[in-house]
Formats: sequence, structure tokens, C-alpha cells
Amino acid sequence: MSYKLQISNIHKIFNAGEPNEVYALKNISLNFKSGELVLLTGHNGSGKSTLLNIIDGRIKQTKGEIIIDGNNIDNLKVYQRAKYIYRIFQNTLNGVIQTASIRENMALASKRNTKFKLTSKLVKKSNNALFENIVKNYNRTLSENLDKKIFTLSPGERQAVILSLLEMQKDKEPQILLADEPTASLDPEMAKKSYDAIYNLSKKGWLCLVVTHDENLINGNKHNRIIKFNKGEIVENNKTQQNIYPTWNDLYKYSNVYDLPWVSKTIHPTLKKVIDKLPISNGKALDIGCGLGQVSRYLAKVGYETTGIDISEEAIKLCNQLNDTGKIINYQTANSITFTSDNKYDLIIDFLHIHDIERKDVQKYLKNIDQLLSDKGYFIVSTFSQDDESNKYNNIRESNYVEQKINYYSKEDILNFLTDYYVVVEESALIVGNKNESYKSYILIIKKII
Amino acid sequence: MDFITIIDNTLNQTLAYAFLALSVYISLRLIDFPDLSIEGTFPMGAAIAASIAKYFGVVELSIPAALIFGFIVGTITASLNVYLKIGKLLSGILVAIGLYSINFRIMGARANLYLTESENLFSPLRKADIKLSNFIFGNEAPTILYPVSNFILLLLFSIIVFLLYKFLNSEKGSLVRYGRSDNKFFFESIGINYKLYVILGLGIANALAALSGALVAFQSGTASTTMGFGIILVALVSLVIGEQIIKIFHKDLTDLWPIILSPVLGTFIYYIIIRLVRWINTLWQSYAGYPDPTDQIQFFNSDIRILSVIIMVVIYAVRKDKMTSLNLPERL
Repeated sequence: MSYKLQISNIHKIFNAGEPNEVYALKNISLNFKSGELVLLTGHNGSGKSTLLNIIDGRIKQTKGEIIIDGNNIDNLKVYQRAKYIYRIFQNTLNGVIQTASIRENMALASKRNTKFKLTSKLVKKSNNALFENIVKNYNRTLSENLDKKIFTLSPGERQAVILSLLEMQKDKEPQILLADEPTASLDPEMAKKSYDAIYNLSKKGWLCLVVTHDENLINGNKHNRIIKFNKGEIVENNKTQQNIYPTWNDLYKYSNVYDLPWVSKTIHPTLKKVIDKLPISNGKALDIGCGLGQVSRYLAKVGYETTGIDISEEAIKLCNQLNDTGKIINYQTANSITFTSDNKYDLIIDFLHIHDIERKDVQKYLKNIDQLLSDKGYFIVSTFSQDDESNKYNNIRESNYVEQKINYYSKEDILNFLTDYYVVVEESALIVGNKNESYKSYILIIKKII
Repeated sequence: MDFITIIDNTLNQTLAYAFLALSVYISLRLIDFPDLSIEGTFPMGAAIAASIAKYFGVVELSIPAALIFGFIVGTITASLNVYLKIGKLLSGILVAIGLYSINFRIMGARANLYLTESENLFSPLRKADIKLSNFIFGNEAPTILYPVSNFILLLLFSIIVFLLYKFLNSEKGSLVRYGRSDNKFFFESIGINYKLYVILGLGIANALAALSGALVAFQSGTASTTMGFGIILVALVSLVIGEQIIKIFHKDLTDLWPIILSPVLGTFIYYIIIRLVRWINTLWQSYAGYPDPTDQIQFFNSDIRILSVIIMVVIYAVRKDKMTSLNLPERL
């Protein structure tokens, strides 16, 4: 797998050989992927800011390599690294030109990494609407006053400008954002806006490295991991698990859903065949992890009284929009582990959902299925078999979409957890994916023995 | 009549020195580089223009040559600062003092160079001036007037200010306009090497200083190695006077328009003040019955320097808003 940024064996010694020699970084090696939001924490002087400065070229490392997109960038100067890196500073005075107006600052920032021409004016009328819209997101009154000079603004307003400059970079090719204490010395509202802006950028595929002491960020759940520094060494490099569920919502909200390899507009042909073969064709059906509702729609068409549940509100919104069957489908935002209903369902379908449930929860989940399924009901479950192919799938999903491991469950696992009353009626192979990537999976029809 | 003479003569002087104040405006206000090297660039412009006119006989090339060599000197001063990390003031001092020796060589190992009529670029203008004055005021014009020279110089100045204004508003030019070392973080984050723009900016500033020197040389018909001494103060005082006057109408000194006019306006007021002081001195002399030239109670030419210092101090003392370091144009 390719990393966006690789830091290998970085050493930094300040004032080598002199009485005030400081060993700032000791053999730091880190790998980062696109779309990661990483917090760097640690005491003052622990080396985190030094690392940031080494990445963007302001400080030269004593030993070691910085690699971006597979290229060694050690020979590039700070301004040349702007091709890959955008940086925001703790001191809001540093990221802007104070004697220039907001409009001029934005015009300059919008020309980042492009050619500055002698023949065209910096301030163009054609940009006015665009600039106003961007600034409006952060400060409404400021957006009507873009000709104000930066030195006349308050620190909060200045941060609004800095975030606007950041937003102008958003639509360019995803790159690396280095943020040095972006929320320090800001009021809570502006701090939240700043962090949200960084978070949204990471959702667009940017790698965001944020140096922070802010407890609110560290205790929050938006980051992918926290790297803790102490005396120039990494003492903690954690991938947090907290953010599994929020990311689903954001995934549906911020990405083009049909680009996701597991999403299709219509029901998977193999699943369709399986449903068609069932001895029942009406009754109550439950679609767990309905996603965009393609399975639910098919069930409704066949004649089931269908309920679709998904953890993501955004997905449910999309489901309701996409319902073109003319029948009422009961879509709900719910967690499949805790979902309860007065009804017993004659058909429960878990199509490529169970692997998102962690091993510690899967028993609870299957107990819940047991509760929901009527005595004569069928449970159709489909997930990945654990082989090399699906590992590849795991990697791709992890790096590009959601920071979440796939949990592999074998046929035996599922049956064990479902108690002895269940048997597999039929098992068939399933290939999922799109034109470019496809992965092996299996599909089970499970039924109670009465 | 007297009034017209004063305005006309002051304007003539102003239009040569205004380029120098414009140079200081660019170096000090825009790129925040207190460039002392113009103490050497100004006489160098004069030396180059005079030498080319005298030794090579191509009067027409004298002005472009002064501009080009002025530009080169500016790039050297800026390079000393941005590449060798020599302080801004020291970079300027080093170049200014170094140029003192070089100017001596440029002028063919002479400290002074006098231009004959055929070697002076302004001779045709002077002839036209006299013709026009005589045409207007009869065959014997009472004083020296410069109607044609002033018109041509004003045209030249307007064109240069216009081009400069257009340039500084363009995409590339705005990089010069804001290419200060305290904006280096911003410049680096948008992928621009700010050093190049400090160098370019200081090059332009010094080209204008050399141009000013060349114009003064042709106006006075002489170039000398010492003509630059203390000239930075003249430019600085002029600039500050102009800024303070324009500030009455336009509060924000960081705007390009109309502040770009403050050098010429300030220079004009400065020379009016000098003229006024000289006039008072004449009155005093006639009242005191033309005292001994060594008598201390009178205005010597050398007193212009202390007069400039006093003006400068007074302006800084009486201005209403004590500026913060944030307000860059007020920083010296």
C-alpha cells in the first residue's frame, strides 16, 4: 500500500557539539495515509513542532528521510514543498499578509502553486462572489467587507480569513495539511470551526497533521490516531476505535456514494437469485445495514412489507429519496445490535454488514437477530471469507473510505453464536465489487429448526 | 511673477528628486527594507550618466544605463541580506560605502565631472525653456524658468508612476508589493520564493534612485562622488511629509493609491520649505547688512541637513496617532 507521507529514521540535534546541544528527535519513523487526521501531542519541547518544521522544510533534519508520494523531498526548499504541503500557523499573523485586504489575501492564496502573471490584475471582479461565499461560512459580517485590511481585524476575524484561505485549497488535489496548534488562543466557537474545517479537509482525502494541546480535540472522536511525543521520542501511536460509527454518516454525506466499491444502484444479482429461490414471497422483511436501500426496494417490489435500518442518518435520507417502488418502505436509523421491534420478521437480510460488527459485539447482534426472526423465518447473511483477496479489500476500504477493520466471521462462527437451533439451508459463493476490483464472499440462508 | 518662478523652479528640482523619494517609498514602505545603499546608488546614477555622456559620447544611453546599473546594485544589496543574512541596514551601508570607491573609478578616477553643453542630455530642453520663456515674458525674461523641462520631466514621472502602479496591482507585481520578509510564511505557503521578490523590489527601488541621480547630474551639469551624502534623509523627509499630508484626506497609509503620490508631493513641499528658509535668510541678511560669511547667525547651505533632521523629528513628535508596530508604514 502506498503512503502519502513517510518519515523514516529522523534524528534532529540542535547545536551539535556545543554546550547547549539538544537531541530534539530520536529516530522517528512514521507512516501516514491520505485522509488521515492525526493529532500530535506532548509537552513543550517534546519535538512535535520540530517534526512539523522538518516536514515542511523550515528545519533540516540531522539524519533520516522525508518521503511524500514515494518521492524523497529532502532537497526541496520550503516554498517548493508547497506543492505537497499547506501549513497553518498558531500565530494568526503568520498565515496572512497584514497590509493587504482580505480580498487580496484570498486572491493570492487562490493562485497557490500556479503561475503569477504580469499581465493580469490580482483583484478581479469575477472572483467576488466566490470569495464572499467562502468567507460567509466563517463570518457573515466580514464577507460584506472584503476590502478590510487584515491588520484592522480581531484575532477571531483573522482566523476566519485563515480558514477561508484554507478552504480555497480544498478543491485542489488532496495534499498534506500541517497545522500547528490551530485552536490555541481562540474562543470555543471559532476553535470548533477551525477543527471542523480541518476535519472536512481530511474527509476530502487530505492527510492532516495537527499539533495540539487542546483537550477538546484529544478527547474528541474525529481523529484517526494520536501520536504522543516525549523528549523527542514517540511514546504512543494509537489508532483509536472511537470513530467507527460517525464516519459512516460522513461517508454518505461527503463522498460520491456510487464511487464506493460496495455500493450499487440495484440489488446484487446473486442475492436476487437467493431471494427468488426462497419458498416465501411475502410477509415482513428486515434489511439490516440497508445502505442506499437497493435490497429493501427489491424486497418491497417482490411483495414484502419491508423495514430497512442503517446506522447512518444520511444513508436513510438517501434511501427515502431513492424509493421509486411506489410502496411504503419503513426506513429507520438504528443500530443493528440494539434495534427492537414489536414485529417478528419472516425474512432478515444482512448483506455485507456483519463484518462491520466487532467481534465482542457479534454475539449480542446475533442474539438480537434471534429475537427478531419469526419461527419460520429465514436469515440471509453474507460476508467475506478470510483469504488474501478479501484482505486486499480490507486494505482498500481502510485507506480510502472508512478507518474500520473488517471482522471476519466464518460460517461456524455465525452458527455458534446463533445457538443450536439454527442450520444453514443453503450456501453459495458471491463476488462483490465493481469493474476494477472484485472480492470473494459467501452468502448463507439460515433457518430455525422447529 | 515671483510666485510662478518659485513654483516653476521648485517643480524642476522636485521632479528630479521625487524619483529618489519614490525609491525610498518602495524600499522602506512596501518591502520594509530601510535601504541605505541609495547613498551610493544616487551618485552612481549621476556618475554613470555623466561618464557615458562624456567618455562614450552617447548621451541617449545615459539614462537607461543608470537605470540598469541601479537595478543591479539593488539586487546586490538585497542578496546580501536574503542570502548571506547580513542585516538590512548593514547591507545598505556596505554597498553605499563600497560604491563610493567605485563611483570614483566610474568617473575616470575623478571626484567631480563637469558636463559641457554638448554632453548634457538636457541642453536641448534648456534651449527650448529659454525660447519659451522669452516668447511668453518678452525677450528678457526676468528669471530662469523651466516650462519645457518640467513638462518632459512631469511626463516621465507620470509614466513611471503609472507603470509602477499598474505593475504593483498585477499578480506578479503584488508579490513585489507584499514581498517583505515578515510575509515569508505566507509566501512560502503559496509556493513563492519571497527572496526573489525582495531582490526584484529593491532592484526597482535602486533603479529609480540611480535615475534620480542621473537627472540631477544633467540638471546641474555636474556629477560628484560626494553628492549622495545624507541624500537618504532628503528622500525620507520628503516621503514622510507627503504621507502626513495625504493622510489628512486618506487615512490608510497601506493603500497604494493615493499614497504612491506622497513622494512627489512631499518632495515638492520639502523644497518649498527649503526655499522659504533661504528667503527668510535673505531678508535677515539684508536687514543685518550682509554680515561676514563666517558669521554664525545666518543660514548656511550645510544647514539643510540639520533642517531636514528637525523637520523629521517635528513630524514624528506632533503626529496625532502614535503608531503601533502593526501599522507597517509608520515603522522606520
